Amino acid sequence: MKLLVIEDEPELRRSLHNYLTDVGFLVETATDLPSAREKVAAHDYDAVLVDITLPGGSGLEIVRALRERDPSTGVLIISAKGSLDDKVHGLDLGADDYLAKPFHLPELVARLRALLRRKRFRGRRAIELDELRVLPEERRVEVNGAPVELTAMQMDLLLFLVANTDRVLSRSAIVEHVWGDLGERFDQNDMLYSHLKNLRKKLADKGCRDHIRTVYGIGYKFVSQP
Amino acid sequence: MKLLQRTARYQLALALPVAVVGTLLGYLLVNAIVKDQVDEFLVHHAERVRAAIMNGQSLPPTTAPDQLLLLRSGRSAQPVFADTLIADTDEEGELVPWRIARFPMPDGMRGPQVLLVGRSLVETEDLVMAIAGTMGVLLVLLLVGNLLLFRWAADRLWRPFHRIVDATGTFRADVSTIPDLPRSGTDEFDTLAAALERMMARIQADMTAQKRFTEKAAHELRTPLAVMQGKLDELLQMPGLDEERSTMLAGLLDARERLGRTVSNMLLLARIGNQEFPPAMVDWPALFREQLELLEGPIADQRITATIDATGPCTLRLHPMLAEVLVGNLVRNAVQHNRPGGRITITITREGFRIANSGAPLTVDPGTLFERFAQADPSGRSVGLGLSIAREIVEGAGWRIRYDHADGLHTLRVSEA
Repeated sequence: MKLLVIEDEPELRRSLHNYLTDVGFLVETATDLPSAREKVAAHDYDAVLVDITLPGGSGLEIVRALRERDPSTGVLIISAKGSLDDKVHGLDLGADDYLAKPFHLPELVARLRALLRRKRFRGRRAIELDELRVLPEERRVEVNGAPVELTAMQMDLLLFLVANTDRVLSRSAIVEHVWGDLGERFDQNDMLYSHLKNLRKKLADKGCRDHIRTVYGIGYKFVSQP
Repeated sequence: MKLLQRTARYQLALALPVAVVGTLLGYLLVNAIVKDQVDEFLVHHAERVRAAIMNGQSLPPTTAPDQLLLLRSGRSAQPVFADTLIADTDEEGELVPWRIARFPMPDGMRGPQVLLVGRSLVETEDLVMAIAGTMGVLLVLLLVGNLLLFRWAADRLWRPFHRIVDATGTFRADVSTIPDLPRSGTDEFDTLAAALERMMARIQADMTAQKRFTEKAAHELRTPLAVMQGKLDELLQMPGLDEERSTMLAGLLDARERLGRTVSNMLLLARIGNQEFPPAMVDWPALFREQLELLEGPIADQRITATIDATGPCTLRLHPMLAEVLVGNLVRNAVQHNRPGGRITITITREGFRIANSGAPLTVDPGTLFERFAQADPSGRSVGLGLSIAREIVEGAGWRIRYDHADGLHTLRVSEA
């Protein structure tokens, strides 16, 4: 999967490049509007990450250009403005998703995977880890072919974990993904713990090995090889 | 009370006594004049009779029924005038007012005598009453006419004022146009319109500047936060994460989280202040249910009973995002400050809604509850902006939020101001 990251802030660009490469994407970067224009015109990307505030103009221009050129390219806006107008405008222009800064990188990965699934595989792609089979678009989970009944929240939780397999996830990244921005921090440790406990139990009941590891003081990790 | 009503009230306060006193004075005056006339007539009449008698003629007979002429024995040094009542000569025998005068006469054959001359006052009294009545009616008519005229004129004169007020009332600082206030040619109103237009332009300029500043500030604060988060997420994936480093990383993650929340809450507060969110209808019961569902984990863990009682559609209009933030903050507050086995009661009516929780008594002054950072919790669980954001949202919509504590229940009420 080939990605283009258009971001002018060098440190963030580097983090995005490293993290997404580690996850398995092929990542190219652009630092300003002219170079972004060039790259978009010259290459085909599966998905493009666009920062809106760029030196030389607005990233929305790239969104518009991409939409005209190749509708199958996924477009994800990352913006520090975070105003509602911005988001609505970006999505109107044809962006597929919008992420406000600051964001957790696992959140970005989960969104990218969902985006690519919709764009490139028309949603029909299952994630398989030996006995575990997850169908994200249908929101179904099977263990050894037998369906597992999950609540909406448990499903969100599992999808997020699976999208970030073998990565360490901080508790706040998981909580924000499942419960949204709560505005005020809640007793997230307890909340997350009880939901994870129930999820683990449901999977174990069907004979699934325990993929979820606790990372001391930080959060959790969904491992592919337990 | 309207200005018009107020003025009419003053006018009435002045005009009513004038009408009453005026009518009374008129009556008295006309009455005095008429009596004077009657007395003059009586004197004149008596003199003529006296002259005739002195000439040796006999008392002329009285023919008119409203007159009286009599010679009586008696003495009188001076003419004496008196009002009296005499029974009418017709069959009903009604008592009728008369004016009677006694005049001294030369002694007759049977000694001293006086002349009694009288005149019935029935007709003159009718006349007086008619005059006074007409005066009274005229005064009242004048008064009513004046009031109506004044009302009509005031209505016309104040029309431009109302047009200016209406046009100003629809002004919103976040929309780019300033309403054109109508000019009427009346100096006072034109000055007012010009002053209001200048004021609206200034408010709008301030608002635009403030909005731009908030946007810039948001960008400048969020970008470094994003960098921090990116680096932290990278660090998390590095091999060799021992317990010591994990603890340090956890502390950093925590601080980043808190900083992020504070920044986004402060930016939200600034944007509420800038009125950046146009209001819309809200399905309040559904919103409360949603937010309770989000917290079903902790609610179940704490064995809290939560009920929603919706008796009417609450008419508070808010932007959907603000409504969600408001309800989210209220519900979280009620869960977070509850006790195990406690309850949360949400009541939604036409007039507003309230949310009550059975938490422990407050440890802070209730007066500071809605202040920014009032509840700042050193453990980092809360940055203390939740209720101040709630208040900002509610008051921004022209409603109000109040706190009270009774029967072990903390209640937050949102209602029309």
